[in-house]
Amino acid sequence: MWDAIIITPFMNVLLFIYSLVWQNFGIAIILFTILIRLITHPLMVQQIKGTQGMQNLQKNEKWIEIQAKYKNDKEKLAQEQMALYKELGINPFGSCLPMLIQFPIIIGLYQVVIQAMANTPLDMLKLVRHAYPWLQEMNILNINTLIPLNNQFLWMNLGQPERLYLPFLNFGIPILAILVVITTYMQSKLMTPPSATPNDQTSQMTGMMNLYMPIFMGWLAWTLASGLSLYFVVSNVFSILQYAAMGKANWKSLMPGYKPKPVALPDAKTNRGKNESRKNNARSNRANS
Amino acid sequence: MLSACTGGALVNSWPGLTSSQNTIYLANAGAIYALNAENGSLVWTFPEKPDNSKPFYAPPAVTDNLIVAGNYGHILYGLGTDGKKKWEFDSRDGNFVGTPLVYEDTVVAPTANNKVYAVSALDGKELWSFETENTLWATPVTDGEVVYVAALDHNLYALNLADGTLVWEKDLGSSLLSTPILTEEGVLYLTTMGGELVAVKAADGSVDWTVPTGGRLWGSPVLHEDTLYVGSENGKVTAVSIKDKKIAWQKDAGSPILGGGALLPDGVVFTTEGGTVVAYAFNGEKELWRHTVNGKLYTTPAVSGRTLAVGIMEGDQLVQAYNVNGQVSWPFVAPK
Repeated sequence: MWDAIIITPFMNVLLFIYSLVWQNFGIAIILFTILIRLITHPLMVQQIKGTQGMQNLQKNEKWIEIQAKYKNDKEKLAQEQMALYKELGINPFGSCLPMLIQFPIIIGLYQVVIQAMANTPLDMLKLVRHAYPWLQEMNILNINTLIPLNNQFLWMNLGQPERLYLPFLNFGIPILAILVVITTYMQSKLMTPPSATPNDQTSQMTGMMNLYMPIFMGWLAWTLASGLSLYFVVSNVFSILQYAAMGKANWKSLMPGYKPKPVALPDAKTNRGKNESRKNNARSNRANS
Repeated sequence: MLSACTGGALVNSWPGLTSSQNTIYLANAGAIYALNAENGSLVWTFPEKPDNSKPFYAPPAVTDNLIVAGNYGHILYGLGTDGKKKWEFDSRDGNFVGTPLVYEDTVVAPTANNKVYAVSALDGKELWSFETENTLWATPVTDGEVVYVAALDHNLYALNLADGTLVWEKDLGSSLLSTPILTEEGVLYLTTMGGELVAVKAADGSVDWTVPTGGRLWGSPVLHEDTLYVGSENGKVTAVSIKDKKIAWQKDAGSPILGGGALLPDGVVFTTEGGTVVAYAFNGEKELWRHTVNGKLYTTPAVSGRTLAVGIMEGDQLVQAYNVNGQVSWPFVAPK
């Protein structure tokens, strides 16, 4: 089922792109990653908006009030929260649902890149069986002559961990692993907005994740096939560009020594005033219509 | 060729088989097992403690006094017939997926990292290496002067056995996964991923003839008198007459065939992905016998004396033996 819905269609698209771009697997991975990222762009936009909505909610006076008021009554707290979601028109799953939909696509993308590099006969058997026979019959994709995929891209063998060997050095430099660390760090820093409560446990955990995730991804890039590292880098860069294009990137957070200012909790009166004003506007709009 | 496979660097291989006069050699996961061909008893294991992080994908090359096996941890081992290590060669970056060739004092070993290495059969010292454009899974063959290497990059390479210099190369249009047959007449018969059985002149690499079989060909052909037998992924066993340069007969085995065939006294035997072991008479007029095991059969069967052994993937046992008449003999189960 997973293969039929995700892996096989992805694989055929990747192979088709590969056949179009002078059988260069590196370029095929880059274009395929961008294509998938573009297709899932609306989901990402929805996810960012949902996250933003939930973050704004943390500053809402009424939200803060009910957290304090019902801190010992979880059931009542949940009821009040739901009521507030409804009142403010916020979908509490607005950020995680698009992410959940994207998740299998990203996992599939990852698996396809691995399987396409077929290092062993069994991998090769799986690869050729992913090719749609009707594409072959229509002379669109002839898997028999297309394989083995050309794993060479720039100085890299995409089926092997990447190292750049320079004549004056007696060790290889893992360029892609370094790029993976940098872009993962940039992505996590840029996409993490300043917290309203920087000292709470959640914010500290986010900070730790921002630190450890690039190291973990770098270790994966160091040890796994460089085709995957290429995918990681392209995916990270594209996410950053998507985020920046939406005006959400916090570039200052990349500055050395930058300490995010805690977001000031809104003044209760001002907030109430704004809410009143919003309600009045809504009433007036309804009246006009 | 397709003696063993995996989806990763851990235990996910199918058993690879080869044989000598009295012994069946099994490559499975992190070890090579030597089995008594008569009764299937375990003679020795190398290494004594199997290391599944460095699996043996291919069965070893076997001569009278040397057994050579390479693993996916880029080490090639030279063993005595008692399974004790004589030497090892570390290719550093070349994992061994195909069975090496041993010719007199030279071992020629293909690697998955595009290189073929020649090392001394006496001490494992590197003699030369030659780089191709892609992975090498097929066992090379030689006439003593020139070594012929089939590669996934679609090329058949002829190299000088003494120093590894290129004599000629020939693009055959699709990947070459299996070991060619080299005849005394100087003709190489080999199969292609594109489904063709090809005859190539060893002298200059020119193609003598090709016969399309209709399905992808993963395994080596077998030759009996003037007929070649191949099994294809579309499940067909095809007999091709060398004289007529055309298909003599074709039989449907019922499931994809990925390994090569093996010769029996009165016919030829193939195994299928669906677990069938099927023997046909040389002339194709009748099916001699058929058995089905629980599991997938991707491996070329091995014949030792009057014993035929098949390697099983995802089955209840690793090996099932028959006698050459098709009577069920011993099974071999993975040691705990």
